[in-house]
Amino acid sequence: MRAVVHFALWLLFLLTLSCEGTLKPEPINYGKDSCAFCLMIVADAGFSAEIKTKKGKVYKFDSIECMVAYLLKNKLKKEELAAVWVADFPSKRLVRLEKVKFLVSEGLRSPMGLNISAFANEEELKEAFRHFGGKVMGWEEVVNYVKEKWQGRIGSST
Amino acid sequence: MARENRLLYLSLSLLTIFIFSFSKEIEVCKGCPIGSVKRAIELARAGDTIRVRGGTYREGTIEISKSVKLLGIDKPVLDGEGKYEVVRITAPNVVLKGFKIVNSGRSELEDIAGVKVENTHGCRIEDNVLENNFWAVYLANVKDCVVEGNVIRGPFRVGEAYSGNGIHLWHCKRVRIKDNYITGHRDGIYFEFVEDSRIEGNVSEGNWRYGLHFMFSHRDEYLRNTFRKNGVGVAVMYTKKVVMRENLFELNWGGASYGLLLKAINDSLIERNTFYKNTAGILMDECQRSVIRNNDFIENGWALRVWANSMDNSIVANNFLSNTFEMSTNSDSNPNTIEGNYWSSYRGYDLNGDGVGDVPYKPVKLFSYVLENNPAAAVLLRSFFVQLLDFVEESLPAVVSVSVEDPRPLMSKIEWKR
Repeated sequence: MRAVVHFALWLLFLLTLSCEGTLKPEPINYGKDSCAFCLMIVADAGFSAEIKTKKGKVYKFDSIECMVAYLLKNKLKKEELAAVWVADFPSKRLVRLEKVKFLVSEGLRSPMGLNISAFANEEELKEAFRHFGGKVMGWEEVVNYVKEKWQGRIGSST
Repeated sequence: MARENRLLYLSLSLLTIFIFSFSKEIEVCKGCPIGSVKRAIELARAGDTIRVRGGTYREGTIEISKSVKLLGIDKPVLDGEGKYEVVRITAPNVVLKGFKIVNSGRSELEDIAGVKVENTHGCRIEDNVLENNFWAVYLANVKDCVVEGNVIRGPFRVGEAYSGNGIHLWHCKRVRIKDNYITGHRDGIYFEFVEDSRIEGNVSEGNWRYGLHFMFSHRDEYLRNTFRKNGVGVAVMYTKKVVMRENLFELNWGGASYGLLLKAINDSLIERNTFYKNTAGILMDECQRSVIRNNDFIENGWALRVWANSMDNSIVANNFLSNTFEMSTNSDSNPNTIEGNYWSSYRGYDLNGDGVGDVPYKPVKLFSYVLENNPAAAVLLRSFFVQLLDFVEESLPAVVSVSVEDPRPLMSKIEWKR
């Protein structure tokens, strides 16, 4: 009996471990997965994004602008989201939204034309800014930028 | 006054003759006094013609910053050696004809191309072969250019990783893309912010994402192109007043594939195209006031998937021939006009002999409605359950809540002039 209980506890422990692990982004299958907002096939790992809701639903995006537009269009609140990831432009890895700053630059053309890229490393951001120019933005600014540029697209659903 | 004008004309034409007589020809070949293309461009003046004879020229990036004609004789090779952008055009009215342009550099940061044209107008890129370039022909901020008769083979096969596009246009106006062949790139032809342009007679096949892809590109015409066996199909998005006529979309077969994705396409015309053997012929999402007329949908998985946020479109006088599903939608209402099509699976009668079936046709089968809302239900296709569903649907039409119908289904196939 004791062995069974032990075993069950052990299982429970493993289960919690695996739950902890689920807050990693689901890998994007480039060239196969399509963007939840614009339906385009995600092809460029430098600009992609992903959100996971607390219900466990995963949405992948070809660009940061599409991710922002999706949040706005579906009126998703912060409390409903488990995590948001954006591609760190230099490493092309998905990193948590909280860790990045953004660059909006015509020198770095994003798949959907608003040219938003994200950088986890301050030095790399500075270097990209020196090289490509543009404007460095925080999250709030990026949201407002997408809201302003894509007004019609975000409002059209309702 | 008239006399002054005449004088002006005379002096102008004299000036023209003067300039013309001074425009010269420069020959480049291995063993010629001028053996380098770059050197020839240095020596040339606007209006000159440079003839480059056969051979391989490895000169880094050849920048054409003067309005010259660069003509290849016996397909001379310009080789980027995997390091350089091969040709960069920055002057107006440049002609680049008859070259083989190969092995551009590759970069994660910059869009390095076989031929890049930037911030100018009036170029002609003609009869070249482009092979193994990262991006092949790249036009940025360019007006009134022609890209014609080029054969473009990218470095990648379908499904392979990162590569650029075959013919890529960004912020261009009044460009013609004609009779090119493109394969092995990410998107065969890609337009972003390109207006008043015409894309005609191209064949784009075996590219790993889209055969044609455009966004924010208003008032363009796409005529007589073939898009075949591309990774996903053709995707056109966020654009107004497009005309797509007499194109062939075929053999785009795979989980998420389609012949043509229309995403947020408004006030456009899709006419006399053929959709043959695609997972979905056309997938429409958020489209408004567009007309889909006189097209042939042949042997597709779905001929048309119309998502509920598409409104006020007309789907009229098309032929639907032997598709697994003719139409599907994820909505039970029908905000589009569907009328006067020929449906090969229509079984109604025409008692008064006017060529129009006497009972309306419902192209959305109950099962395809179920499928659109629960994709996993696809495993039930051709099962007893689905047969039962179809039977119920046919014998008790009242059960079906999907209101999409063609009130005037035609009894015979529509023929139109090609």
